[in-house]
Amino acid sequence: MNEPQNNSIASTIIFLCATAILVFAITLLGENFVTTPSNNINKQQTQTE
Amino acid sequence: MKISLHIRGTTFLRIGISIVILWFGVQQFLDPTMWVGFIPDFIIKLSPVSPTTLVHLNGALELVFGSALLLGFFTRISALILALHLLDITLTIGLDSIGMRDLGLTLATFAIFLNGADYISLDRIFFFKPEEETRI
Repeated sequence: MNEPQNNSIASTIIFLCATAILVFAITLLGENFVTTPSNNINKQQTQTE
Repeated sequence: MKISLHIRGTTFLRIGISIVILWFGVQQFLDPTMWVGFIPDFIIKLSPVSPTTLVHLNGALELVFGSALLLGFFTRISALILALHLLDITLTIGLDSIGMRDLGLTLATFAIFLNGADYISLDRIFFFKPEEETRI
């Protein structure tokens, strides 16, 4: 099977760095914007306080 | 015009596994509390962030590498990282019925790593040499 052989180490490192930044960004988005049951519980608790 | 219905097994396997990975990634964002129980206790004790954040981090990792696998972008490295991730999950769960299912997913993902990039992938566009195109 023919396969791409010229995935250089440099491009792989750039890809991994980009994915690390993306993972970090998506985690932050999840923490701040995705409504979760736990967030709702926290909100309810602060409201009752 | 001829339309081929032939689907390569490598492409089918890559897309199938990436859908599974992406589903788990999305679920971890929709309801992280459901997944907190899967994190080993020692990781929760060692972690400076909350268990929910750990689930988000894990979900983000699965979303990013699952998307890369779906698109066939850096197929080999993405498949290897996901296979190691699934192996870690398998070993954490143990070799019960769920663990054996995860072992199957691990081996299937490792097979994608062994296959490398296939012909319906971004790697083909970015990394195949023009002379290799003629040999398809």
